[in-house]
Amino acid sequence: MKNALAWGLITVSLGLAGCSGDKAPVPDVSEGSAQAQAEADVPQNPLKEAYFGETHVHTGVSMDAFIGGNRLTPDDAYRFATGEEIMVNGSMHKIKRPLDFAAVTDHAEFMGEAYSLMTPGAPGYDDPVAKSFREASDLKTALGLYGKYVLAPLAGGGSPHPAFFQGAEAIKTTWKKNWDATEKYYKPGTFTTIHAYEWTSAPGGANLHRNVLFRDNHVPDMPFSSNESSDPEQLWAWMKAQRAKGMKLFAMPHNSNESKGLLFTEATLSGKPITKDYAETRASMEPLIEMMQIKGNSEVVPDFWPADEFADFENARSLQDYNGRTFKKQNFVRWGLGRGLKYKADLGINPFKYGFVGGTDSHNGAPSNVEENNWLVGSHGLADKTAEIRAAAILEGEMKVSDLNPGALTGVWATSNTRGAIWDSMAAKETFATSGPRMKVRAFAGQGFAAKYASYSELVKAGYAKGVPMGGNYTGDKAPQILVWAVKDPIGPNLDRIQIVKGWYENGEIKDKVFNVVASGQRLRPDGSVVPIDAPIDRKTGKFNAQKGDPELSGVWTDPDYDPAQQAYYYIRVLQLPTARWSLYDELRAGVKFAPDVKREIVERAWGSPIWHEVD
Amino acid sequence: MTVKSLVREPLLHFLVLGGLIFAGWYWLHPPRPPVNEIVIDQNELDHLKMLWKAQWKRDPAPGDVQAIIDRHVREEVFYREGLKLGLDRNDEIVKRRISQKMEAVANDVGALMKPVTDADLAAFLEAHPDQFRLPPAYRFSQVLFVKGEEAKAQATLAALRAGQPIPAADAARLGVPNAWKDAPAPDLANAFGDAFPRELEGLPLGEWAGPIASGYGLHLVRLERRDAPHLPELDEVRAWVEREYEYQAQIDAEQAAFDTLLKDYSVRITAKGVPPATRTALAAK
Repeated sequence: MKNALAWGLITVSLGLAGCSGDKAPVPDVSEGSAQAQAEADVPQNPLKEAYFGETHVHTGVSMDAFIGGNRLTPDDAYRFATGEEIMVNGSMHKIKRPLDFAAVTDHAEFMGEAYSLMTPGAPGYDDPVAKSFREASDLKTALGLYGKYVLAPLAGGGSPHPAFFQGAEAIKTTWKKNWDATEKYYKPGTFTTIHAYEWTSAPGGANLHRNVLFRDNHVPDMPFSSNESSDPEQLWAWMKAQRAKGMKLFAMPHNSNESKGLLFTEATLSGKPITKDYAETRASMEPLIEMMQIKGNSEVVPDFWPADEFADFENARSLQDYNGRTFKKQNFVRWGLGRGLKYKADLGINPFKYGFVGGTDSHNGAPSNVEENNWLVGSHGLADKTAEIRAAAILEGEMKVSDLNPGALTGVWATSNTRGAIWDSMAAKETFATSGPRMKVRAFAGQGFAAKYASYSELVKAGYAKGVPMGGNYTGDKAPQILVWAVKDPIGPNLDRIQIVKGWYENGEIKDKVFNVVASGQRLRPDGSVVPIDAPIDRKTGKFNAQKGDPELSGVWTDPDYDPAQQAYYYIRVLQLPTARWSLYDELRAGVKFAPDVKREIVERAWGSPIWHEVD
Repeated sequence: MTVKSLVREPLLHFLVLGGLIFAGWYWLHPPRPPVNEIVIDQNELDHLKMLWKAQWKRDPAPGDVQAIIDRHVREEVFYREGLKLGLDRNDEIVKRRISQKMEAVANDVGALMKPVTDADLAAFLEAHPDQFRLPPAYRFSQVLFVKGEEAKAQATLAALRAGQPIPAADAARLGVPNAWKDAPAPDLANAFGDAFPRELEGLPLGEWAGPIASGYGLHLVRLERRDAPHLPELDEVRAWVEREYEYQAQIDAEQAAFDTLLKDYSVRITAKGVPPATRTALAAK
């Protein structure tokens, strides 16, 4: 690559015919076998280990991030993920704990522009618009450019590219550069990098974005972007074509909370009814959904789930003030899971059979910078850079900054920390999302579980022997027993409780109910309610209560309302003791003051991927 | 001056010979009126069409080719006349563009000239001990007790010291493995919380000790082996050193390319208001 660039520039400078962008070589497939060998050498744990990582992060290669001042490359992002201190948004910054894996997901739509913007001497580099992107030093200017060159085209208005765009070769060059970085930092057994990008479709401002993740380094020479089509069916058709060429890839939607009802949809984007074929394709292409990220938690909101006493959590309510993204029930993951059951009953296939991941969507190139007390430089360049800005500002066109959160984390139960093992477990949905902390969560549905196991490994062995793990189908004909287990984050507070959320389809209605399954300190009452834990944080220091709760919870729950004829799902939710929100840390550290209605204390949590009971 | 002496006159030889050469040159290259030629050969036209296509996303039609050529000729004429008048001098945009191009060329050529050798890597490793020094690593067994189990921990400690094995019920409590093999301190901080590796540091080798605290609870620990922080051999960390070397080499190549070129220049600052340090630093180079 570099050689080609050098000679390209030399020929240009000598006045010979230059080329508009150097040719991106097709990745060498033979490297795949070297990768397979390196992976094979890593020891396997058949009982699986939880690996934590990022599945959604943008570097300077994403043009919106670039305009916001991000000049970091995927190289920098991977270095940050492994714990290195990097200049992020104007300050040296590092995460508290290195990650096990990371996928850089730059927007496919502007990869060509990134080449011109970031490569001095490249065609388009000196274009006045490109120049203005580089020189935007205040928020107002950046926002103007962002609205005109990013938001408008992504919402389907105007030309998809600014005039300095140099064409497909430039896209390929950038994609290859991201590929190179992703190859460079992969260390099987220690740190896994995943080839990925974001397909950024937002028809009419409805967020239908998907992150696309590849299993290995066999990838197409160019990603499919929403410039080719903003219709997810076209994305899936393209993915199908890549699979036919031997590539392995899946897509994961995010921000259903901004989807205006179009993600868990009643019709195709082109207005046709949902068919069995559509459902089959979608289920095959999309095993996972991002439950939560910087721009809110998409599980539920109290408006439509008033009975869920923990629904009020990082709901990003001010999203509703922009783009007509008023909350409706159809925008939330729990609705989607239930709607999927109805499709299963009607069509025979569930198109919304989603397991869970969590991401940040950081536009600062800083993967999984999720700790509340380490959110020093924000997530979106100039828009939320300092405590002073965060206390008062609006993330223009989106929401109030005070409604942002540092983002969520993905946990994957895999046999080793390798691309193959992690991707396979993601494809099988043996995953969980957390709102940031590194708690671990497992569940198995089956029959014949003991109320208590002599050891953790006995519990896990029984889980696999007598049941199916998270992401699977319970196929018994008796009420399922669900074996649940969770352990705290070693640097976080103890756990409060484990809940099971059951959803089912009954007489044409989609229903759900939250069951308290295990509570720390014998607080579970016979009627299923729980004595509140009453463990507030210290508002003067931000410290959590270190006395109450349990470090580990486990138990077996049997569905009391099981009906073998009903479609159903079960997912587990684990709550930890209250902790300080980033807004309180900002107040304590910087002396700023947030509005009274901004939360200072939160109950962080983990969501384990569902297990389904399907009736054919 | 006789004819003979005239024939021997070197000046005459010179004039005659020069005349002959000049005549020959004229015969081979008859004189033409001076023109500025603009040649559009196939390469040039293909290049122009490609640029046009990049902008308009379609192949140019015959009418477009006319426009492409017209525009090119117009641009060339103005460009060349501009050069004659020296309009490229002291133009900020031209200056920056050319310097950027030269910088990119110099950097990439610089980097290409240096294939990395083992000796380079070894020297790099040697020169950056802080970067490559491996953190302390520990091999140990641990048994975990949660809050409220302090007495049980003491009883188990006595049993373990008496040679009993780890009780089956205490296997991998909370999912935390009992045996840890040569785990680096940062990994342990990740798995147990920050304080744990520091607590480990104070334990004796080869015997059950503790309890020490972690983010989960209390641990009895039998430390088997402690690897002090040390600079690894190149073979152990070759890929890592290579990656860092390449990263650093790129940064160095940029500076080296500049420094090399700067040697051909002397920088003299006569303007006022420049910090003395800046003045002398540049002068020293």
